[in-house]
Amino acid sequence: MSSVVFSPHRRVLWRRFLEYGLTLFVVISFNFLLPRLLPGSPFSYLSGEAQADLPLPGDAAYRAYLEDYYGLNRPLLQQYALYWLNLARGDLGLSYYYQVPVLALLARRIPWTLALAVASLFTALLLAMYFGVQAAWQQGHNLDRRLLTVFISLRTIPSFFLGVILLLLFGYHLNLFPLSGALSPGQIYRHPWELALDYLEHFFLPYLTLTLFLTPGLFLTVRSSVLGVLGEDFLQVARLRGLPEGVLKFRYALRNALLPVLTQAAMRLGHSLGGAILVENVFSYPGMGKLLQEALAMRDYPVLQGIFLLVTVGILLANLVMDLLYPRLDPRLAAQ
Amino acid sequence: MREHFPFRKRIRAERPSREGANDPRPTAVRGSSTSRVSPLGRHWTEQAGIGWWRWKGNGALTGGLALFSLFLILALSAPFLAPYDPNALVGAPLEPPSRYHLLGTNDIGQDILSEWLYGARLSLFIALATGFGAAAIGLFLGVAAGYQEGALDRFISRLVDFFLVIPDLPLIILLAVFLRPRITNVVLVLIFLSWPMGTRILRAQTAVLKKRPHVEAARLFGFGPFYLISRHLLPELLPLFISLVALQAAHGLTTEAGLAFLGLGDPTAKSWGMMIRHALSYRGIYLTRTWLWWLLPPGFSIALLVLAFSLIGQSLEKWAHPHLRRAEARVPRRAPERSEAAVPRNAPEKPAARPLSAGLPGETRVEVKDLAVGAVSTSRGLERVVQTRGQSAPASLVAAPGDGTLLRLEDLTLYYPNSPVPALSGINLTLFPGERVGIVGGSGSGKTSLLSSLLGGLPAGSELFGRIYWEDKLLWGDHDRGKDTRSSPNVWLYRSHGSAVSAANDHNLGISPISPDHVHKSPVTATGAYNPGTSPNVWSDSGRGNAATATGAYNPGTSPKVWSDSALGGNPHSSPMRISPEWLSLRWRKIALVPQAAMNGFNPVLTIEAQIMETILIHEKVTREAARVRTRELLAQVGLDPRWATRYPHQLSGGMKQRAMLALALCLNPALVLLDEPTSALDWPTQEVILSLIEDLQKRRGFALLIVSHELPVVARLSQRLLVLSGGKSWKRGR
Repeated sequence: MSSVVFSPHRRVLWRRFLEYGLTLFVVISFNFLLPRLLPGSPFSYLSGEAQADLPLPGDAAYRAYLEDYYGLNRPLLQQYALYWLNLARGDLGLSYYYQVPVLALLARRIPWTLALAVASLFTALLLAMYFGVQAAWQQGHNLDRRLLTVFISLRTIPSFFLGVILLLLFGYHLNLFPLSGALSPGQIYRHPWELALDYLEHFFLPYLTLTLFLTPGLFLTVRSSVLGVLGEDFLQVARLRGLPEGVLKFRYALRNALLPVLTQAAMRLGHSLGGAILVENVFSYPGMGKLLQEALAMRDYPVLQGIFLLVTVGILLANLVMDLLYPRLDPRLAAQ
Repeated sequence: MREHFPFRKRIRAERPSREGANDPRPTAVRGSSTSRVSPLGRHWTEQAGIGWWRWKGNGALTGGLALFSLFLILALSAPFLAPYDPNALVGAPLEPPSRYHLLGTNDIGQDILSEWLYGARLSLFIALATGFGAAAIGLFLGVAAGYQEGALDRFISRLVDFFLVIPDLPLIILLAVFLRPRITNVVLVLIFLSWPMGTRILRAQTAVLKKRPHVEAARLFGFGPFYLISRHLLPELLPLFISLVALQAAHGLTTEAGLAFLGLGDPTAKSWGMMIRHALSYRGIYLTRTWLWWLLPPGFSIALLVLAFSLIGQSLEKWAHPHLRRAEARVPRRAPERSEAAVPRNAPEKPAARPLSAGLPGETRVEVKDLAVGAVSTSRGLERVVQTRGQSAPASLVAAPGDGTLLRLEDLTLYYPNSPVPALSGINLTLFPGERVGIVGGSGSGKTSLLSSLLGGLPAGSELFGRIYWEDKLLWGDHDRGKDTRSSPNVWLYRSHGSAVSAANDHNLGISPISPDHVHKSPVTATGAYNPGTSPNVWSDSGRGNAATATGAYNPGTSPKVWSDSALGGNPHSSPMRISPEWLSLRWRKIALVPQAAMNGFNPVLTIEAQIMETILIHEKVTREAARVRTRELLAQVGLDPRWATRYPHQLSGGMKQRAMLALALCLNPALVLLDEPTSALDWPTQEVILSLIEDLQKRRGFALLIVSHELPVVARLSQRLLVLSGGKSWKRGR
């Protein structure tokens, strides 16, 4: 039955796929056009001329070489085609500052960020689901009000400022965690677990910050989504069936409230990565956020654009995965 | 006419406050009605439902506005309050707080307090400019899309979807880095990234408002879009618009701080974000205590301002969306005070204190039309009871403990939380093992409430009076009161005599000349007696006399046990009334329910089999395999092919779901099955099949049945005895 091609969900899926493709197309085109649309030639951006304080070889020969290298002396459409061709070959350009391909540069930094963002998002999701159900269950009671107060206050603090405070408290004043970086520099590890411990010690504060940053929004989503399910008949019947509270809360209420929550979580991945950019810089964590900051300081445009493109692709993929997961979460969406 | 004008004007001026204080209707409804009453001379804020009376009791909004005003005043009066020029070097570097520099000085000797005050101006400007800009674009595009529909709508909606999926911070960074770091550019970039959310929300709301009757009517009268939008839509969108301004302002504030932190702010304009960046770029910030007065003030100011904006935004959003408000209103903020003395407030003294036939003002739901009991009774057994009722009821006729009843209800009276009207009033019922009893009543007559009470499935805060016995054990209520009740002359209690009566009833019912047409035509609420033997008037509204005796069940002079939950408030769906462990242990094991909502009674994300097995496994110590085998057997018994077992509820038809529900009810082999409207959602042929299935199952398994329905034929067909429940109030008739 599920192999019927034009089942409702499949059709939705195809449309989604098309939408994401279109989004990607627009983003890539935008990425191409941005340096060319803005005042000054793209070359002046590429060469960093816009920021005159940067040390640059400014002679005409070098400029001509660069223009030729980037194909900037060709018609716009041709440049556009070339841009796509390069992308297809995985060429995101050359980092101006590091003088290495952007993709290689990103490949080195992505794992750090990905581990951080995914672990935080996952933890935040678990926390939000647990507390969200409890709060909704006791709507209006003390527990609910306390949780709301805590999470709403937490949400007002900017992520990087939260990181700074945690760093001050746990890093400088209590001396519990290392202050920056992802691994202790120059350390020689005799056992793999020493490496793991060192990694986790450095990992913890950025991870905590990002988790605390992500939980409140998800908590509110879970809470309101569960509140929407509470009036459903099946929940009341399940209670009369004598099912214990825990089963009612998690297998009945939460399971049915999950769809909007996970949609939100997939959309939050972008938010999460945005948070990661700031948080990494607080802790000098060597991920993409730190790279972005370094590229910012050096006006390394190809790197900035590469990061933007990659993050977009990642978010589109996450959304696509969610779309594929929906029928597993809610059988009503599966092929009839 | 002219003379009357001032008078009219005054009335208009007074009116909103009264309306606002008492009117529980949502703003939108109220707004529309006021604009209908007097379309002219009413300020748009009143139309939108924004008035001072709405602030009352809204602590969040008041707090948010107060906090915001505080920052606004500080920011505006910065030139007067600031002790120094924020850019001048007025002291030694890194001075701690002192009389001269309340927050000390920064690393180059500028006064931090002055910096903070001037920073407030910039941060507030950035936040408000972003908020208004984004919300204004959202309003323009959202109203256009929502009002116009069609291609424009699709285009704008696609665009919004596109922007919502793009990661905003990297894009903001990319834009900010290509543009020059100037404060206007920062604001523009923030607006560029913030408009989609507002557009989406305002589009949805416009589309809803456009369909409102008064807007449609105005359109039919020939008013153009400009009039409609400015006159009817914008005023009602206003609270939502302001809420969006506030929420986007909060977003803009944090994002600007993030940009500043990354070094993308305007270096010449020192907002709070730039202050933080400056503080953090000083190497020693972590090492001394400088951060206390340098870093924390701007950081927490941002947090507080964001809090103010969120509070304002969220409270206004609630006004704008009636469904949000309703969800909130359903739950009392604070539990009503209930001391011991206050308890009898809802105690059944109330029904007795007034004539039952009169009804309370506003108590429209409760109809008290009572029967002259003797006149309509035909069943011999009942006649005897009725005749003896005039005197005091002989104890032998009352089901006394120890004579083998399965379920006995005495004086059951139910008040739902915060409801002055009883949902059940003085219900008495006796049920023997294996007996089939039907209950007929109209909508709102309390049928479902009765079944919920039997299962203890009432929301917290409900008050249940009277006694419930299960197999002569008291489940609910106070033992001693029972004696009083039985000796009371007001008790309406009768008892059928086993098989003799049931045979007669079966016979009578079998030949009862009721056409379903007739039943449907007769107003069910016009309570009467079902009386096939004597009169062609199947439903008779027979007189109003004898109210006290017919409703009976109330026993003045005794104060029945009052149940009340200490944990009041909360969501009525998630906090059920607390019941005794003995009663809990009966749930589903002894008393099972086929709910009215058979269609929605199953968890949509679990298979039928999983839900039946789950019920068995929770109540009994059996292996999964045994539970599965029993589930399959049960499904076969209710005539459901086992291949449907692993399907999800939505894949089953209505009749199948009803069968599955039956299987679920029977899975623990209960002694009593409650059927709540077993067939009302089914078509006629399916009804027939389900009814004979229930009949068949009952014969085979011998459980007692309590069938509740508004359809007389259904009840008549299944039951040996028939009782009419009227207006939530009382038992009327037996057969």
